[in-house]
Amino acid sequence: MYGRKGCQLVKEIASGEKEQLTPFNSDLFDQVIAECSQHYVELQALIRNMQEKGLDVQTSKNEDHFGALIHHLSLVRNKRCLTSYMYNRAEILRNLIWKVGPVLPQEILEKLSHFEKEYFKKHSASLKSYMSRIDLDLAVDMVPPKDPYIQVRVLDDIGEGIVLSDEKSVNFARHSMHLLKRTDAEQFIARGLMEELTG
Amino acid sequence: MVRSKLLIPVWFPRNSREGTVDEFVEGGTDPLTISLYQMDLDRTQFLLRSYLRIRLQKIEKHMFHILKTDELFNRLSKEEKVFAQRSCDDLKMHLEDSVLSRLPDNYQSILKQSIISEEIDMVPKPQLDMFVVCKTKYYLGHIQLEDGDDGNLDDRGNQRPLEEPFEMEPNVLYFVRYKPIKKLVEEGKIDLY
Repeated sequence: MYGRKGCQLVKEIASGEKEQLTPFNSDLFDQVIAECSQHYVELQALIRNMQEKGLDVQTSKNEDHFGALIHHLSLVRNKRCLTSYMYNRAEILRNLIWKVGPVLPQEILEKLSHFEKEYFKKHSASLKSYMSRIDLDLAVDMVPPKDPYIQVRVLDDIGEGIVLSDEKSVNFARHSMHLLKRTDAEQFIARGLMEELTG
Repeated sequence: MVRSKLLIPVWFPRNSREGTVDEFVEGGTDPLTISLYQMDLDRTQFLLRSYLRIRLQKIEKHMFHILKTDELFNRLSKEEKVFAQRSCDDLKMHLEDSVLSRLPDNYQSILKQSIISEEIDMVPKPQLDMFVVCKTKYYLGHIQLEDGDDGNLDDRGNQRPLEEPFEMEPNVLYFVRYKPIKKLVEEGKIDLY
């Protein structure tokens, strides 16, 4: 049935967990694209048919006209499904920049199409250029500060000699605990390399 | 609209105030005093960042709509305009590469569904019919809650009894559709919550 595959594509976005990406369904996506081309072939055939009969394509309302109309509307509907699939995924990607930062972990990267990876890079770059133009890093300070310093535990080997904003160099060995400025720690917490110790 | 008059005092003395915190540290001022200053500074910076961040996220959400609506586009700061333009170009290219270039000729526009669409019908707009919680400081009478424009087109609309004009008392919370009160919000007569 016309349009069913496009609908499945949209359902994948609509029924998925909010703000969660499903793997890019290139199989279904290509099938919908192919369906579009098929509609177009049949649409043109019907119009040619009308022209051969010497009918005015704009005004005559015979069976070919309505057949062509169905193909046109199905094509337009598929286009809406395809673009909204990409558009909504792009929106989730943009939100990921705010939550995870410009470097995506491998398990998310695997779910993206080639173009989505490109888009993610480009959009991160334009955010970055905005921030450098206003000379303010908006990726830190995501939660209201209660205390300028927080207690954190290092979850992964981050490495030695990382220089913090007060120009001291720190050794973040795995499982070590530190009292850091919130703005320094946030970027590591976002990437899952540290956790905040509360209570 | 960017409230630059409010922003400037917060934004630009950043360096000078940070200077004072450093001076306190070197001058051996009481650590408690320093930490209070530091907290105040952090709080202000958080507010500034949140403000700019939320604006950017709104731009991201409806970039095509903002870019083609002059009234909205002119509310952006110079830097935001550059960002909005660039984001739009990137997303447009992304959609073209992934979808539009693979569709038949007459169906490749990003703004229109097909070549025969007379107006722009592919751009997602913000939903203005949502209900919002709001409050006013002054008494406001005669607020028309029905949309005047399209009411007459629909016959059923005429049969439905017209709602009485809506009144708002000061400092009472109301739950209404955003669209009819949009203008009053922009004029600063109604505050949203």
